[in-house]
Amino acid sequence: MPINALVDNTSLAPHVALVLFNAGTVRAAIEAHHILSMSDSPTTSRAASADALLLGMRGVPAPTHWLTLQDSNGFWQLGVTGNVVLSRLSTTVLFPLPPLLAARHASPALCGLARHNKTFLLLFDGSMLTPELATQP
Amino acid sequence: MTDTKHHTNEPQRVVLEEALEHNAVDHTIVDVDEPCQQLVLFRLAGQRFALPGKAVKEILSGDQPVYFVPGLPPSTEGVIHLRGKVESLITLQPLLGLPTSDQRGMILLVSAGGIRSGVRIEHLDDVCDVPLSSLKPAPETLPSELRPYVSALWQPDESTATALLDADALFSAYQQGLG
Repeated sequence: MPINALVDNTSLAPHVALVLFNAGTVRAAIEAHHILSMSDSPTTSRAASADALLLGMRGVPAPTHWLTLQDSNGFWQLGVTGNVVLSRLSTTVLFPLPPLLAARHASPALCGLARHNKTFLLLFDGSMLTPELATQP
Repeated sequence: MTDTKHHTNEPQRVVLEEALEHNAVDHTIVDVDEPCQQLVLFRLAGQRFALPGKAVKEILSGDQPVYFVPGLPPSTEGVIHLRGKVESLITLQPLLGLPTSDQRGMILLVSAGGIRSGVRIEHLDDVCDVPLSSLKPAPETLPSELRPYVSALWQPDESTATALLDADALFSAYQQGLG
């Protein structure tokens, strides 16, 4: 299944390609080069829903799309909801976590925030994600 | 014509003189050479607090749009977008052992120890310069939750006491997982 592409060419600043999706009730993004493919249903034994893995939440709508990533143990899939799009965001709208948030947030993979469509996206570091984190207390 | 104008203005001049004299008598005389510290006075849970003026970079209206970030303690409201920068927004009540409220109040942009963050306050009282000699050491009778964060007490009169908070200590404790 192709990921819809949104390209912002309005700025001369460097861009970062991100895959945007919903994790529970929030909009999130992972750098596009971590996402190998997308499918409608899980095709690997190692999988986790984004709400559980990224936010520690459970019981929100079941994933509608499965993004394939790779870690040291092989391929795995991240279940996401909402509109999944590939978007190139200007580096001027990407922000590291403010220090007090960085000290207290629960997800080790949360690495920043992006200003997009007058709200914020949570940026996750795809290299730090592994489905087994979702099962840890 | 001139006389009439003079007579009409005279009673007003007397009132002004009286007012000036009255205010001069009421105000405490401050030695202008005495070193002063600027304080930002505010309320949390109805109690009076202050932060050093040098730590408060900006005072913002309380109705700034706040973006909630999941997975953070209740003392973190989220982030605000301020002129192209992202700032965290925290509440101090949990750290100070005070009850929280939904009052939007105002937001102080506080900088201390190399960290900057928005801090929501319930009410802004004043920004004023006070003589350093009027700041007293924090008393032993302070509640234990407040003691680590109160650097001095300012008591302009017998009925009013304001606890001067140490912004470095607040942010440091917050980073260590308190509050």
